[in-house]
Amino acid sequence: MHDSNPFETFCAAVCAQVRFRPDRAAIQAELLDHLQDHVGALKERGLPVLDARAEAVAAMGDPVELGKSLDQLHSPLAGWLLAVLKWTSQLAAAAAIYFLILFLGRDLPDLLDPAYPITSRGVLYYQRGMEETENTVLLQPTATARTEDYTLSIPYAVLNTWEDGQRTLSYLLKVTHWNPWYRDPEIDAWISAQDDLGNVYVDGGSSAESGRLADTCRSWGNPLTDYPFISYYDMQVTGLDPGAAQVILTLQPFGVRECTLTLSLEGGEPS
Amino acid sequence: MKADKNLLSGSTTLLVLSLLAAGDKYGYEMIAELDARSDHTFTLTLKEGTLYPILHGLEKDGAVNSYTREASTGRTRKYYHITRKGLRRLEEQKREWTAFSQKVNAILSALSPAEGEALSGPASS
Repeated sequence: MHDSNPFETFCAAVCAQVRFRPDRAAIQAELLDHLQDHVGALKERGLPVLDARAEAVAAMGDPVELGKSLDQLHSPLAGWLLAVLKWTSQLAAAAAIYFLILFLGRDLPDLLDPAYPITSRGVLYYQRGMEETENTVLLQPTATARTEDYTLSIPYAVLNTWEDGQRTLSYLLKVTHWNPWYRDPEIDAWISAQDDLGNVYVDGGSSAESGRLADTCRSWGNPLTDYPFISYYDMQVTGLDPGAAQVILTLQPFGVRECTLTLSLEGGEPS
Repeated sequence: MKADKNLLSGSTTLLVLSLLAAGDKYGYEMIAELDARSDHTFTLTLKEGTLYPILHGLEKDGAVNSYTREASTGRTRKYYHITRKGLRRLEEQKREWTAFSQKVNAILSALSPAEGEALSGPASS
């Protein structure tokens, strides 16, 4: 009499010997494939299906012996150890990705393009000071200048006229660079200013043409903050000629003129 | 021809590795090829189920690895692929087998039938 499902009986007998349960399904699938392939081959030779099934099972040998041999190779200790290792590494990878997303999600925009530091003390100081005097003009700088390594722009500039008629230009200089090793260059020391009337403003120097005092007519500044790809500088030009309508800023690292930025002192809105 | 089971069992790993060296195969495909190439010696002598502990052992040792792919019949099969380690092992086993069989043949050919009778004892005298 034929077994109603000899394949299942055979596979169950093999798998019963395999102590590491998670591997049983794969073993059963592989053995079933083998049995079905064998039956297919026997049917092609003209054997009736039921006989072919019985022969395929018989050709496999003793299921208990086979199961015991497989059990030796699928030992529960190694199997569970490997499974735990796999789960742990998957969990660690998932946690790493989660924290990376969390970290980058919060810091990446700042890293690539931090909002200019409007809250920084220097810029706020000038803005607040000018509001108090009510002689403040918020300029609308648009110029951008490029050197081989840096791109310079002025996101924010204000012109303040003091009670004694002295004019001070304060501006935020943004310097972008794609090489993080170039961060925080000494831009503040490399910039000099000249107005459209020909007056030159340098740090610690004076304009020969106007004969104005060295300590009042200056172009100077300080590094404000720097990010891997962007550095900001808090810059000033003091003692501006009352007739000047434009300031031309020149970047001259080591005396070599690299680029210029033109800033109009008119056309802004009162703050 | 049905061979001595003990003679064959020692060489099954060598046979499996050499089959896989010719290309990736699934279990029954290997049996069918062994059967055809050995004039049914393999299947008559060894049970087909013995192939799987050999394959799983080789996989555990890193001599082969496995993957699932759709076979030409349209059904998915677990294929085995020989690794570099497996190929090195195949070369070693081939050398061992050649050296061993040469020694066995040398002994067999050195012993002529007359000597064989002499060895069998005093029955000839």
